[in-house]
Parts: sequence; structure tokens; C-alpha cells
Amino acid sequence: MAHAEAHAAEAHAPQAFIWKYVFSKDHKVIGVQYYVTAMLMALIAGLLAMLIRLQVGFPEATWPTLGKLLPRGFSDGIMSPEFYAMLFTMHGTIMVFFVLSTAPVSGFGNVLIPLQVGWRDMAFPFLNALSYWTFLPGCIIILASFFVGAGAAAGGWTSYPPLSALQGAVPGSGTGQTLWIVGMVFFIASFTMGGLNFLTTILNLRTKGMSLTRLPLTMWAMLLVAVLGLLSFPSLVAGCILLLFDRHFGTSFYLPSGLILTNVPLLNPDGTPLHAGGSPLLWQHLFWFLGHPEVYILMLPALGFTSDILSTFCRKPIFGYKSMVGAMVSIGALSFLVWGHHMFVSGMNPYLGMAFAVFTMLIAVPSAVKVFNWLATLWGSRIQYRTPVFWALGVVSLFISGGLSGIWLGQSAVDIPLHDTYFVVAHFHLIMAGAALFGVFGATAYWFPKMFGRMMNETLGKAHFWFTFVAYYCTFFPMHYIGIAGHMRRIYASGRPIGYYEFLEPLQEINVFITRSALVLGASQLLFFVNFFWSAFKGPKASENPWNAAGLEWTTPSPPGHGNWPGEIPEVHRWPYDYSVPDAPKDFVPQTDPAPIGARAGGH
Amino acid sequence: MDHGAHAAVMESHWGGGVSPFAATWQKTMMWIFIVTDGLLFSGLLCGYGFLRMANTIPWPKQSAVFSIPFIALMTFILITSSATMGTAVGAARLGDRRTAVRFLWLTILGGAAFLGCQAYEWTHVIHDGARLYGPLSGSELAHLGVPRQFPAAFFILTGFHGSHVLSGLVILTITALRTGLGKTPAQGVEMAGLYWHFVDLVWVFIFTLFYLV
Amino acid sequence: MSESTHGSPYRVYWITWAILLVITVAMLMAERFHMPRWFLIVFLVAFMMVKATMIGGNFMHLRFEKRNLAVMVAAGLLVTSLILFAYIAPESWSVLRSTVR
Repeated sequence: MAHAEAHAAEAHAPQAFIWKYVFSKDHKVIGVQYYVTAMLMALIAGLLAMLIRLQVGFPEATWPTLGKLLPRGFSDGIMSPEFYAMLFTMHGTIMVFFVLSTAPVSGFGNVLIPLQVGWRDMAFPFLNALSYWTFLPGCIIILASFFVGAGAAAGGWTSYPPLSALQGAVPGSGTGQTLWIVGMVFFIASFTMGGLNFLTTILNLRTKGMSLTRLPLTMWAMLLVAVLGLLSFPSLVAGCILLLFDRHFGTSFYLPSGLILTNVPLLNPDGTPLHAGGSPLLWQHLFWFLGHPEVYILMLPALGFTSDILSTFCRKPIFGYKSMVGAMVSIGALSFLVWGHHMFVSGMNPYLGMAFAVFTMLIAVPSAVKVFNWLATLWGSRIQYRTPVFWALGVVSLFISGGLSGIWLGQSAVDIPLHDTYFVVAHFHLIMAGAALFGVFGATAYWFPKMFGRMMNETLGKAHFWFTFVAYYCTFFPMHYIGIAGHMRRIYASGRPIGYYEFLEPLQEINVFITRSALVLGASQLLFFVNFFWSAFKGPKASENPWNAAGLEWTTPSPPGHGNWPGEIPEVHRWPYDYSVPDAPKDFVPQTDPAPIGARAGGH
Repeated sequence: MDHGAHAAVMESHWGGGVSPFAATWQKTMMWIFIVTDGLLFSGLLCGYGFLRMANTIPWPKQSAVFSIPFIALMTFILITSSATMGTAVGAARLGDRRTAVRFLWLTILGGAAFLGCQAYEWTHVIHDGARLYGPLSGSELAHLGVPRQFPAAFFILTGFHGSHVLSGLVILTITALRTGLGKTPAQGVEMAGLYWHFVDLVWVFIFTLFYLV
Repeated sequence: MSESTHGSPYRVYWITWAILLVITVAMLMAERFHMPRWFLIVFLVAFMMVKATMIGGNFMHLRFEKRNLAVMVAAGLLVTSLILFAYIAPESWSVLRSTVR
């Protein structure tokens, strides 16, 4: 049944450029399309972050050049508070959804899944192409929101009502917020289509011998990400539908009575309240029911990449494969039970708060298991110091730093003074932006030869890593301190008399330091762009298996042609981590090798 | 060197090379899609539940607003269309194309009748003063003292369900035409059938949780 | 795929149809019996689940598929919905209690 379809996929007439590279149904092309689009979105969102830091670091400065480039955000070279709100909203939205949900999942997932499970393409290539061409309009729509009349959405990436539900609340609450919702709907539709393909392919279309316990941990991560996405995104869609109706059709799902907008109570002509009976808490629950699994969707692929990269460059099997899988599954399952820890100060039922806090503490356990397993993998190994392993080590470091601050925040009592401060900003940037982003960079360095058939430049790669790593910690670690000292997040602190918090004055020099580090961090990414694009076209050609890795994907040509394997798809006889096997002829045994040595039956 | 275990892996239905569900990827994918779409309705139903339970204004007795026998008729029509759909799928699997097409058209008829009833229900309820933003002041519903969320929840829940019925009718029509021409295999009819039964399943939940409870 | 081996091959659909109708009528009549509200709700929800199981099992053929498919679907739908509802319900009660009337 399965193999007949394989041969049908191979017979292909030569294709015109537009069908081969633009509207391609090949998973590798689609993956690269997603990846490059995510890179461009990251560039934009990164620039937004630079603007945020300029404002926070130097609130009394004027920016005449920026004022000329972005006249609607600046007046007389001073950033307007409304524009600042748009900046942090769109920076968060684009980074979380259009960069970090896209590059590791849709980008690397699409490229790697057929290669690592052993199939010619994804289960439904047409749907796969459709998912990308639904994603791209979503990007365009969300970016377009900057150019509409009153500007982009400005209610935070979390879009809490009433701010997001009342069109007149802030300038961004008009068309900008509507476009935010529409862009998100496109994104979710695209992600769902991708998730369907991922799950079906990994479950149904593995090659002979590729049992679940012989899958690389990257594939386990993609499997769990697909499950998490398919189960949690519908909640946000339901929430967005209700929000759309509140905004445009006068319903009161999230809007209670008694609302006052710019000193005018919201009343009907006959004196009855315009809205009544709704609750903003409903949005928060529906949003965070997605929101929490979402951040694990961002994290899990990086955790998978790290395991694969570490074992390759330590020439050691990943320590505790089964407990790694168990940890990822537990993290995925627990992620559905903890969403309320984003809502501890919302006025929600305190008993629920207790339940959420307990489960949040619990989620630290499988996370710690993963960290200890990585450390055990590194223990006693001769690390080959190439670019990918640096990024993997960076992931381990940032996962620990970011994870630890999460334990603080997960306690409902401790969260009360820390909520909405820079402590939270430090936490999620270290773990989400940090570990997940480093995972993407590591995966790029590791699988670039497979994707493009060329090697990336090691010197540039290592320089990029060190600048990024140091600048990352310099940017985000001090935020813990200012957060504990009470520095709120999302505030626009300007010079007197517009808005100024005197108690934050002593912290300003830390803010300056953070801004300077952030500028270095941003500038360092140029090293990556140069390395990536130059190597893609002019880098030295790569062999089939430049890292001497044991996984199935390294048995294809670099880059793999259409259909991935030129002949039959190989059978798999072992897990992908047979490194340094005693009595083996080489220091690794490829997954496809039938010889009766090493671990064969499963991952132990 | 565990040859026994290795051989066991190669032969087991989770060992790769075969579907662990003994189902084609198309059927597997359809089921996963049904789970996702079902959770969308779960989200909407949970939202409705939250607003009804949190409301200080008491929710009306549904029999005071709707003719429950009429809603029961709609349920009967939809369940019958599900049975005709099952028969169509069964016929397609047996290779009996004529029966399959005939019962597909019966299903479409049932679905269209359901939509017609739903449209009538909407007209009736709008006439009684139901609007998205709440009961129209001075209308029957306003006299009943219903909270604003009541008509809003009604329109959202039945509207989303109705849109799924409509898209189901489109899919069924295409399937019926193509099966008649011999262009759709039995699996295609089965896929359409799964979607239609899913639509019926959602109605079972809406019928119970919105109209009866 | 095994179906009923004797009689018309479509028996299973129409028997299920008849049972579903009987259950629906029972649910409609339930209100007439004076029972505490919570019991009525439990009764209706239980019968709703029975209907759902019959539709999923017989119409959608899950009863005749490999068990793991049915488990995946049921677990995905039920567990996720239950989690969402289990947390939202107490929240709605506390919102009700704290709402100014």
C-alpha cells in the first residue's frame, strides 16, 4: 500500500521555474520558503525591538532621522506613546507567531520530516504548498496594519479586551486590531494545515523499521508540536471569532457594563449600557489556553535539535533517550494544565490559581530531566567544536537561565510583585527568544549543508555565536534586577512632563546598558545574514554526510533531489544515535546499517 | 544484538512501512482535522457555558423562545441524513455506485432541509427581537428579560454550525456528481461521509447544551 | 472492514438511526419528569455522550477501525475539552459571585 505511492511521486516532467521554486509542492522548497520568510519577519520585528530599546534607554533624546523615516510615529523627533504601544505589540506578535512558530516548525519541520522518517515528501504536498501560501498573506496583512489610518494594533500581543474590543480605545484599536485578528486567522489556518501534514506523515508514513522509538528526538518534537498546535489553536480561533463580533457587531462576550471611554460612559441613546454581561476573563482563558502550549510549540523543536546536535558532535548517543521522550511528552501534556499562570493577577478564582501553580512547578521536573540528560551526554565526551554545537550549548545555558526564572514566576504569590515587570520580560526572552532562537541558529548551522548542498563559513558562524551569546546575556540578564526593583513592562517613560516614574530613575543606567547591548545584539545578526546568503550561493560544496552523523537524513544527497532518495527508500535498523559503538568499523553506525551491532531494537 | 526485539520491531504495526492505524493517510488526516474542528466548537461552547453561568441575568427557558418540537424535527432530519450518508458510504465500498449516488442526493436533500429549517428558525427568532447585540428593546425577547448573550450565543453557535452544514453540502454535491461520473473512489465518499457525520455530531452537542440544558 | 454479516449490509446504519431517535425522544421527554436540575443535566449530558458514541462508532465506523484510531480521536477531543471546561466553569462561578448587581 505505502510503497506504490512512492513510485508515482517520482515520475515528473521537467518543471518551469514557477512550479519548481515558487508554487512548489516539494517539502524542501516549502520549508526554505517558510524559513526565509521567517527571517525577513525577524528582521522587521528585530528593528521594532531596536526602536523600543532606543525609547526606553534614551527617553529624553530626540530622533530627527527616525522622525523623518516614520513621521506618523514621531513628532518633532520624539516617539509618541501610541507608537510605542504599537511597537511592543507588533514585536511580540511577529516574533512569537511569524518567526518562532514558523522557522523551527514550518521551516525545519517541513525540510526534515520526510528526510528523518523516510518518505518521499509530506503526506499531502498540495496542502503543504497551500499552507505556505496562506501564511504569506497572513504576514502581509499583519505588516499592512502599520500603514492603515490609525496604525497597528497596540494592545499587546495578548490583545486583552476591553482595549482590543473597543474600536475607539486607542488609535491601534481600530482597523489595526482588526487586521491583527485577520492576520492571525490566516496564520492559524496555515499552521493547522501544516500540523495535519506533520502528524499524518510522522504517524502513517515512516519507512520500514522506523518505529517510534527509532525516531530522532527532533521528530518527537515535531510530533508533539503538531499535537499541541492542533489541540490548542482552535481555542484561540474561538476567542478571535468572539472578539471580532464584540468589535464589529456589538456583542458583549468580553465587555461588561459600566465601561467609560475617554471620560464618556458607553451608553445607548436610551441610556442603557452599550455592552453588559461579558467578561474580559473569558478572552484571557481562551487566549492563554492556546498561549501556553504555544510557547512549548516554540521550545520543543529547539530541545529536539539540541539533542541531535549534541550527540553528533560529542560522538556519543544521547543520554536517556526514553526519558527524553517521556520528558517531552510530559511537558506537552502538562502544558495544557498551566495556562493560568499568565493570569495570576487577573482577579481569577484563587483556587484555580493554586492548581495552576502546582502544575507549573511540576513542569520544571521534565525540563530538568532534559537538562541533566544533556549534561550527561556531554560528560566524558570529546566535543568537536563546530558551529552547531556552540548553539546547542547556548540552548542548554539559556534553557537553564530562563527556566529558573520561570519557577519564580510560577508561584502565584511571588508572581504578584513580579507580574508585568521586566522580570517577566527577562524570563521569556531568555527561554523563548533565547533558547528557541539559538535552537534555530543551531539547526541552521547543522542542516544547512543538507538543505543547500554547501557548507556555511565556520569563522563567521563562530563569531556570530559569540557576539550573539554575550550580547544576549548582557541584554536580558540585567532585566531580572530592574524587574525585581519594580520596573514595569510595556511602559513608555519619557522625559518630564509627558510621563515619568521618579522611582525608576536609579535604574536608568541599567536601561542604557541594556539598550547598548541590544544594539550590539541586533548588529551581530548581520554576520548571520551575510554567512547565510553568501554560503548558500558561494559556499564550498558539501558532501552527503559532512558531520559523519548517523541519522537517516544524512543518507540522501546534499541537497536531496525530488523524491529525496534516488533509488528505493532505505530500511532502518537502529536508532539514530549509534556513535562510538565498540567493535564498530567507524565511530558511528548509520541508521540504515543492518549489521548486528549497537542498539538495534529501540532507543536504549 | 537483540535480534528477537529487532525482528519484533520490523514486524509490528508501529514499526514503520505500514500505517499504525491500518488506515490510509487520507483517512488519518481527516480524523485529525475532525478533532481540530471539533475543538473549535468546544471553544465556542465553553465560551457560551462561561457566559451563561457567569451571567447575573437568568437564562430563559428555551421552550419559551423556541418551539422545541421544531428543533427536534431538525434533529430528526439531520440524523436521518446521517443514516443515508452511512448507507451511501457503505454502498460505495461495496462498489454499488448507483445506490451510493442515490443516497448521496438523499443526504444532500436532508441537509438542505435542515438549513431551510434553520433559516426559518432565524427569521422567527429575529422577528421576536433577537439581535447580535442583544434583545431589541420592546420586543418579545426583551419582555422575557433575556440577557444580551442569549441571542448572541444563539447566532454564533447555530451560525457556525450552519456554515459547516453549508460547506458540507458543497462537498457532498461535488462528491455526488463525481461519483456519478465514476471519478471519485469509495475513499472519497468515505471522507465526505466523515465530514458530514462530524457536522451531525456537533449538532448533537449544540442541541443538548444550548436547547435542552 | 467487518459489517453485519447477515441481512442487508446497511442494517447497522438504520438500527443506529432508530436508537438515536429513541434516545432523542427520551431526552426531550426528560423535562416532564420532576427531577432536580443537576440530575437532569447529568442525564442529558450522559445521553448526549451515548448519541455521540453511536454516531462515532457506527456512522463514522470507529467501532470497526483499529482501536488506536478511536482512542486518539476520543482522547484528543474529550480530554482537551474537559480540561478547558474544568477550569473555566469554576471561574464563571467566581465571576458571578463577585459581580455587582
